Amino acid sequence: MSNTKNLSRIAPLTLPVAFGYFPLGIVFGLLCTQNNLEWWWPSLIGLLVYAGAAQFMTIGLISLGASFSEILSSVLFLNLRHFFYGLSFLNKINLRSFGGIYRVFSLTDETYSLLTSSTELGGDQKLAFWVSLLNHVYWVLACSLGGIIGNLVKTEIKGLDFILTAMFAALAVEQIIRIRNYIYPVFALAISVFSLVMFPQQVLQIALVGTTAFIIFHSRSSLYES
Amino acid sequence: MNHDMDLLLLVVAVALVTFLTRAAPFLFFSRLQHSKLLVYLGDQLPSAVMIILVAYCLKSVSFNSGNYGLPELSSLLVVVLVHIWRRNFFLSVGCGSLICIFLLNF
Repeated sequence: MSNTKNLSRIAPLTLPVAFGYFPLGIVFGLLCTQNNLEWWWPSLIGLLVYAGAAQFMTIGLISLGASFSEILSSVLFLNLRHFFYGLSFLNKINLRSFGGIYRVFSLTDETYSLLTSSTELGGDQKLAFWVSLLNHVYWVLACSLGGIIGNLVKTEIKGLDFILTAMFAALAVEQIIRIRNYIYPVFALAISVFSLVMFPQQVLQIALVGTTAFIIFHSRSSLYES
Repeated sequence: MNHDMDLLLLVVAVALVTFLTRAAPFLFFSRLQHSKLLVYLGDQLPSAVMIILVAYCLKSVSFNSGNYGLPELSSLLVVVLVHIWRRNFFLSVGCGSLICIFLLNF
């Protein structure tokens, strides 16, 4: 089937993703310009990173004055959940082709949901590639639009960075519902509040390392039982 | 110029980290699968990490003066409740954000 025929077939299927990406991408672009970045930075970031939460987080952390390593380690922890997405596609992506590598690169939450919701899409390499590409295009367009608008309209909107906080809260709820285990989230909350009050400059390091250590020690006996 | 280079370096690093986490299952599958601890951590950590990140994002909010953090906290409550109700990211993040932006600007 020709590429144009493929595209016209799957384009309607990607509309829900477009509806979600456009507002989010535009806001990202606005947030960037609010942090005094030139209009083309959101486009570049959207193109290279292509991860909503990570992008918002990076800009948010920059405005909070976080260091290079703080930002990188936070992004790493934030993106851990992507590990599970790849597991569903292990046998279906050919990593020896550009298309395969691009599909892995562009495996976002939304693309993942779309491809796993339809057996036809998930199984067909070519169709899945075009879906991934289209979604990426939507995202880059949205970020660019935000960057351009933000540069033209110079009013400051307070609270745009709250979107990042809200995103983490929703992700937290999602993860807690998934694992149905409350001990670690509660510990994480306690140690975060503690660090915020006592050592506000090292909140991330203390809370992340402390929580990881707690999980390891808490699960030691049960993990090695069998 | 210097600032731009720093930012570019950061963006490329973030892009690589993101790509790495997406590619990890394909690259390290066997090694990752055989470590019970790693699999367990990868499964349990995200929930705790998200909470830590929420706390971190709120570190610049003043809780003993000004708005006392009420706009942020009440908007967070909305995000959590709406997400438990509908499990839709765009809905929960959108509602909570709109409320917070409204409260902070008007």
